[in-house]
Amino acid sequence: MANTQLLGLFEEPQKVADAMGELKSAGFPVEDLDIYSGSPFPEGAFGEHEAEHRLFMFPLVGALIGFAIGLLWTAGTQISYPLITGGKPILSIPPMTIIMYENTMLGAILFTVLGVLFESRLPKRDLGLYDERITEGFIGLYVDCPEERASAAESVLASNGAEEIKKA
Amino acid sequence: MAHEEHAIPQVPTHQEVASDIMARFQDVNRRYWSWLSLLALLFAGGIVGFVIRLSDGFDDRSNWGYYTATLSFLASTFLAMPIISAGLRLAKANWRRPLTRLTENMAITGVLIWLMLIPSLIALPATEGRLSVWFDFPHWMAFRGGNLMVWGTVVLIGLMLLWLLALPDLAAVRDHMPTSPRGKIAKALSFGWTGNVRQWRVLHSGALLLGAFYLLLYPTLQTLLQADFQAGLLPGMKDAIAPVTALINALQGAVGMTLVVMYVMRRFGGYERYFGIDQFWALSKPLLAFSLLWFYFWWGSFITFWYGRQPGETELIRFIVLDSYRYPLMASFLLNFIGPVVALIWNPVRRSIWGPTIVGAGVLVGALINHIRWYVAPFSVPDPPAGESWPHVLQQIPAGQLPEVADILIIIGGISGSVLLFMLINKIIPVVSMWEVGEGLRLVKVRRFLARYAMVIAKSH
Repeated sequence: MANTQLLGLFEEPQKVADAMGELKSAGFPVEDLDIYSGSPFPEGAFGEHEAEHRLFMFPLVGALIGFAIGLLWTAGTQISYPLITGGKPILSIPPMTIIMYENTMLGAILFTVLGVLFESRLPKRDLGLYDERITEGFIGLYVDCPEERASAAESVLASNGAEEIKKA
Repeated sequence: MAHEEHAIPQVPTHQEVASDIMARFQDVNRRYWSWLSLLALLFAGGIVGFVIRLSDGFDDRSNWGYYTATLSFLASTFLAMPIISAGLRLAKANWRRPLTRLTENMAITGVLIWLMLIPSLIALPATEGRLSVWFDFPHWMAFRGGNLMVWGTVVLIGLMLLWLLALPDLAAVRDHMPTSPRGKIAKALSFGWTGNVRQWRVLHSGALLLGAFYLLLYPTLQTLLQADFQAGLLPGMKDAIAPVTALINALQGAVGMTLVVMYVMRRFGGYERYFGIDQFWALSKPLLAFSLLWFYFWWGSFITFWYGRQPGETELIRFIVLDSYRYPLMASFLLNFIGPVVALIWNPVRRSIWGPTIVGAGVLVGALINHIRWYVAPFSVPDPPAGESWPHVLQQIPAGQLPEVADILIIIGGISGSVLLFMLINKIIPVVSMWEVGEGLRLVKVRRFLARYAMVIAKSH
């Protein structure tokens, strides 16, 4: 059976925390509840599910790729066109480090940006169940539940003072 | 922080702040257009100055000294400003919240600065036969390609930092100005941000990471700037701490610029409730520290040359310290060290809005003069005769070079162009971060404390 999504809009954070607690007590899995807000609250403030992310892996991978490219680029060009100057080694390490460092950083940065987008599930063409008042300071409590439990969720949201409840 | 007048401090709500900032953001009044037109005119003058220089070609490098000094000044003030945001966010300074976006928006000037870099790089001689951090690396791969990449990456991080941290506010603009052209731009740039728990968590981590990368790469930019555009052109210049000196001076310039821009936004933009005494007072402390460090690093360099007494060192000191560029050094000494220290050691000056602003403005003037000394001087040193290596001692000390009309146009145009870009981006991305201020407000509570009221700020993590 298809799921129903509900979005309760609240003005008071305390009411959201209360509604969240009541929904969890009523057996709604915490993974199916989400909070939408115009500015962040301290982690766990509403007792919400703290989604894990692997953002920190992205810059590491990017840095490794960038470093490898930097090394191949600088060493490769010098080995491909070996010009011995004053009997010095072909590979000129100090300037190579500048390019390798720069490539390492560039890789890390690009992968970080990609990581932020991927882990945030962006870009999103369709905002889904959303309300413009969220960026004004309202807080949205999102519930994803089976259709037969939608009315129970709705009554929890309403009894805790939701200004409006949207459904999809 | 106790309140002086024993009054009950008023803490606005997120809704009030969001609606106030949005109202100011939406307001594009006549004064804004007047300033924009004036800046565009001055920037056009800068382009005329640039074309004059271009018509003279690149054979005489001394023509490009003031241009490079302008480039260096912009890179050491405007482009250094995102460091303030990144550093204060890492340090979790609560007072930073109203001013971080202002410093991040300055990253847009990096586009102009990167474009300005290209002619300066063309004006540099090949690395063969002279001391350089690139040794005998093929020249396109090395100092031209390397500089373009490093500077480009710094600019890219700044822009990415700005964009990612602006996603929630771009979403707010999208939501509240859906039909206007600015709203449509914001909609495209907001990437469908909705502000759920996962997005906020990732944004926090991403901002910290990108900020840390900016802090890691910006010193490389300053190192290359100093090594390629100054040390590599000055026979006898062997100063191990020069890149750090340049970095410290850039941080001083960034703080000075932030103070001045905050004052302007407060005075003319209507943002007085966001840029208050807390921000000016708090920033005056690092400004005092950087002013002391200005002298420490300058002295550290000077004394090694002074006691070294090698021919290359004595000639160099005569050139950039005692003779040709004595007056620019004295002016910078006064504006970047003596003035700020004497003024900011006084509590009433430091704990005011006007005091740090005046000092900040002075620091910027001093920084511009110092950058002229740093980069016009090496650009005025002639190349050695064809086929000969660069000497280790200045053969003859060039006279101090005064700016010509084209140089003055370039200096004014470069600064105006940067401010112009900043003003334009402020109408795409709000200059005060609604979400960051809103987050901070939730952490503030007013509590009775004995006979007065105090604002208690919670730690968010």
